[in-house]
Amino acid sequence: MSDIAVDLIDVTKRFGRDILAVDEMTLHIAQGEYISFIGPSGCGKTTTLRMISGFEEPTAGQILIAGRDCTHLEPHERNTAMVFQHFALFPHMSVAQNVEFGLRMRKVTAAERSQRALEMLRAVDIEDLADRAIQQLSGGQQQRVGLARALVTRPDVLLLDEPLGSLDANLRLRMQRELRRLNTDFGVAFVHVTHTQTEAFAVSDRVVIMNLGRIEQIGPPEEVTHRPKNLFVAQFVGKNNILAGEITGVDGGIATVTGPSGTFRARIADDAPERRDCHVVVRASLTNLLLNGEAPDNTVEGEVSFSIFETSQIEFNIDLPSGDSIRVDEHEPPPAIAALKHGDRVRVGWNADDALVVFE
Amino acid sequence: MTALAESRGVPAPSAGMTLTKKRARQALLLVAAPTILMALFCGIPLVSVVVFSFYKPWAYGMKPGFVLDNYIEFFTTATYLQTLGFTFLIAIIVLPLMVLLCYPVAYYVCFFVKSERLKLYILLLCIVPFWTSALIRMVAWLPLLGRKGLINQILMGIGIIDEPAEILLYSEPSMVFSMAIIWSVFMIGPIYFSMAKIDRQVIEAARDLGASAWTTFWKIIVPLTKPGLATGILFVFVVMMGEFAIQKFIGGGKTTMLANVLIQQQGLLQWPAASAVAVVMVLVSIPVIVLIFQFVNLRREL
Amino acid sequence: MPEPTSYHVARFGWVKIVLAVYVVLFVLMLYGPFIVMVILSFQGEDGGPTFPMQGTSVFWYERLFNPSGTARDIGEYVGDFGNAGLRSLVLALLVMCISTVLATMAAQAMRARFLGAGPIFYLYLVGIMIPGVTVGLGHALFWQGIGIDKHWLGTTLPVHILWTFPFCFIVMLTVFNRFDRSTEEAAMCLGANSWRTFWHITLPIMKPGIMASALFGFTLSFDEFARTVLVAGSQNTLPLDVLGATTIRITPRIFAVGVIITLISFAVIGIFGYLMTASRYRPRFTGQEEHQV
Repeated sequence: MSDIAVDLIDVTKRFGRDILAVDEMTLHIAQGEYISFIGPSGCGKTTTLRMISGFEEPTAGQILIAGRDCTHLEPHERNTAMVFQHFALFPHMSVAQNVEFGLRMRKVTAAERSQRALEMLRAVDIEDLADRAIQQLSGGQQQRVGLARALVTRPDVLLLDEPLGSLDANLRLRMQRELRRLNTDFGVAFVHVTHTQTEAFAVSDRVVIMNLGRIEQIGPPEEVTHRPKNLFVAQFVGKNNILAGEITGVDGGIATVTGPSGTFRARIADDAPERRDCHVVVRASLTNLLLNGEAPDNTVEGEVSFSIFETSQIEFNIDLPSGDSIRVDEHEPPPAIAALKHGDRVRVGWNADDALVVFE
Repeated sequence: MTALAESRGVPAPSAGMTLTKKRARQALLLVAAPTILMALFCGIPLVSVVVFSFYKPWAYGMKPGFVLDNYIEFFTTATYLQTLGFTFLIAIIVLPLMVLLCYPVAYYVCFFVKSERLKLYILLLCIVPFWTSALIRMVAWLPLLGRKGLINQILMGIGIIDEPAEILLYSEPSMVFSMAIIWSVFMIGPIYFSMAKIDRQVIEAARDLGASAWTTFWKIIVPLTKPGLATGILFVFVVMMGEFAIQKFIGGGKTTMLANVLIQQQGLLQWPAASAVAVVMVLVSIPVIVLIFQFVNLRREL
Repeated sequence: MPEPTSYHVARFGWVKIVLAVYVVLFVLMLYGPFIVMVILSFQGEDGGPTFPMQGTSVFWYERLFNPSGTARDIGEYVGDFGNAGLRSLVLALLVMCISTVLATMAAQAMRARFLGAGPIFYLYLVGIMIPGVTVGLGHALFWQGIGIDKHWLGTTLPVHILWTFPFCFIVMLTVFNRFDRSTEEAAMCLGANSWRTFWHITLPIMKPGIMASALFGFTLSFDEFARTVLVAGSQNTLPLDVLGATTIRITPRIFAVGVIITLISFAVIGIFGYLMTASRYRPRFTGQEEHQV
C-alpha cells in the first residue's frame, strides 16, 4: 500500500468551452494528512473535491487514490467517502441505518454491520441516538451522523465539502476539534473544502490556496500566513497591509522599496524574481501605533479614519496622504490608544523583519 | 487546449471523458422508451387526421384519394366558419374571466392566509374536484341552473323574477360560467405556484421604497406571476379546444364549438370531413400555443 | 423571523374581508352543484332530476345495478354501470402504472443534461396540446385503417397514456427539481451504483411525489371521455356510460352514479393521501428530549 492517499496529476477540468475550473493541478495528499482547500468562490476547490469523489470527470490528467488510477471510475468504485454541507442524510432511515448503509452496499453481514455502526456512533459520541429518526436530530448531531456514516466504510480519503457551513458559530468551533481528533484517531486523509480561512487554519496540516483553477500556495497554516508566496495569497490570507512600490536595493535579505506611501525596508526571499515592481506586505497585528517617538525600521504618518472594536483588540484604519490606508490591530491597547478617534493624526511603525516583499 | 494537453503527454479530452459519456448514455437509454411511445401516440392521430382529411367524402365512410373537398366544404360553409369564430369568441371570453375569478383566490390563499396548514386545506379544497369526474361536475350543474332549477326557484321564491329565467341553462353565459368553474383548478394551480415562489422580501423592499399597495400589486406581483398566468391559460385553452360535453349539457346544443362539429361529423360517419375539422383545430391552436409560450419557459418554471 | 403577513396591503383591511368572502363564495360555486347532486340522488321514486324533492328514497341507487323493469317505461337509458365501472377501474389502474413508470424514467433521465432534452420535453407536452377529440379521431381512424377493432382496453390505453403521461411527467419533474441531489451523491460515495442508489435512496425519498403522479394518472384516466368516446368500441367505460345516460332522458339515477363516482374518487384520493404520509421512517421510541451537541 502506498503512503500517498490521493495523487492529482496535471488534472484539468473544463465546463463547456469557456470555463476552466481547474487548470493542470498537481497535488499529493499523504495518508492521514488533513488538508484544506480555500480560495474565493469559483476558484475550483469544490470541483477538485468532486473530481476526487468521482462526481465530476477530469477533462485531462490523472487521479490516483491509494495508488490506484481512479480517473474514470464511478464514485461507487472508489474507496472515498464524503461529508456534505447540508449533511445529505437519508431521511427515510434511522441513524443506525444511515451509518450501516455503506456497509450494506459492501455486502457486510448484518451482525458485523450493526457492531461496526455502533462502534462508529460511539466514536462520534452519539451511540444513544442510534434508533432516532434523522428529523429528530439537531444540526450538530446530524453532522456527527454524516461523519460516522462516512468513516465506518474505512475510506482511503474522507472528503468534506463545507462540513461546518450550516452550523452556528459555537458549534463550528467544537466540531473543528472533533474533526481534528477523528483525523488523528482514524489515520485517514481528510480533504476539507471551506471558504472560512480560520476553519481551514484550525484543522489542517496543510492548506491549499486556490485561485482561478490554480494552486497559489500550499503549506502549513503558519507558513501561508507568515510567508505568503505572492500578492494574491497576501491579499487573501489573514489581515495584511499591502503597499506598492519599486525595489531600489537589496542588502542581506532586506530590500528597500520606494513607493507613493514612502520608503520601506522589508525581507525579501532568496529566490525572489528579478523584478522591480513589488508590494510590501505587513500583517495588521505586527504594525503599531507610535505615541512615544519610538523609531522602528518603517514608519508612516496618517489620520485615523475609523476603528473597529473586536473583543480583545481594536482595529484602527489609518488613511495615508498617498491615498493608501493601513490597518493596525492593537491587542488590549492602553487607554491613550483606545481613545484615538476619527481625524487624529498618528504615526504607524513596524520592523523590517516583520514585513515581506511579494510579487504579482 | 487539446494540442497543449497532448504535447504534455496528457490524453485529449475527447478520449478521457468515459464517465461523462457513460452517464449521457444512461440518460438516453432511460428516456428512449417514453420518447418513442409518445412520438408514436402523438404521431398516429396527427398523421391519420391529415391523411384522412384529404380522402374523398362518401355517403358511408370514405374513399382513398387526395382532394381538398373537405377543406373547401369547411371554409365555404357559413355555419362551420361561425363555429370556428364562436370557438375563439368563447376562448376570448372564458380565459380572461377565469383569470379574474381565479387570481383573487390564489392571491388570498398566498398572501392573506397565514397558517400553512390552512393554506394547504384551502388549496386541497380547490384541487379535489379536479380529481373527481369532470363529467359529473357538468351534470351536477343541471339541477341548479335548469328552468325548474334551484336558482330559478329561489329567485322566484323571493320575488325577484316572475317566471323562470331561461338564460341560466342552455345559454352561452351559463356555458362560459360553468367552464370557468369546472376548469378553475388549471388556472388556480399555476398562478398559486408562481405566487408562492415570490420572495416576500421583494414585496417588502418595494413597500419600503415607497410603492403603494396598488403599485406593488401591479408592478411586482402581477409581472412575477406572468409565467403562472401563461401556464394556466395554456392548460385551459388546450382542454377547451378538445372538449364537447359542456356544450352538450349546459350549452344545450344551441351553439356549437369545433369539437362538437367533429363529433357530429364522426357520428354521421363523415370521417374525411371530421378529419378536416380536426386538422383545422390543430392548425388554429398552434399560433395560440406558440404565443403563450412567449410568456413562459415551462421547463424553467417547474 | 418576521411574520410573513400581507405587509404590502396591511393598510387595506377591507381588501382582506372582501377577498375572504369571495373565496368562500368561490368554494361554494365549486361544491354547490355537488351538494345539490347528492341531495337529489335520494329523490323519491316519483321525483324528477330537479327540486322539489318528492320524498326521499334509495330507489335510484337500487336501479343503478338493476335497471330492468320500469326503466324502459320512463324512457331511461339502460346503462351497464357496474361492468363499465370495472372496465374503467382496470383501465385506470393500468394507465396509472404505465404512465407513472414512464414518467419517472423520463424525469430521472431529464436531470442529466443531454442533447435533445429540450425538444423531448416539448414532445411530451404535445400529448396534452392536441385537442382531445382530435386525438380520439386520429387513433380511431388509424385502427380502422389497419383493420383492428376498437376495444375499451387495447385501443383506449394509448390515448389515455398520451393524456396522462405529460401530467405525470410534469409532477415528477417538479418533484425531482426539488430533490436534494447530495443524498444520492452520499449513497454513491458509500458504494452504491446508480441502480442501487435509485432503488434504496431516490425511490423511497420520492415516494410521495410518485404517489402524486400516480394519483394524477389514475384520476385523469378514470375520468377521461373526450378522447375515449371515439376509440372505446362497443363496450363503454364508466364516463361513456354516464355520457350515454344523459342522451335520452335525465333521471335522478344519473346523480346516484355521480355520487358513486365521486365516492370512488374520494376513496382513491384518501388511499393515496394515506400512503403519501405513511412513507417516513418512524422511530421506535419518541418523546425523548432533544440532545444538543
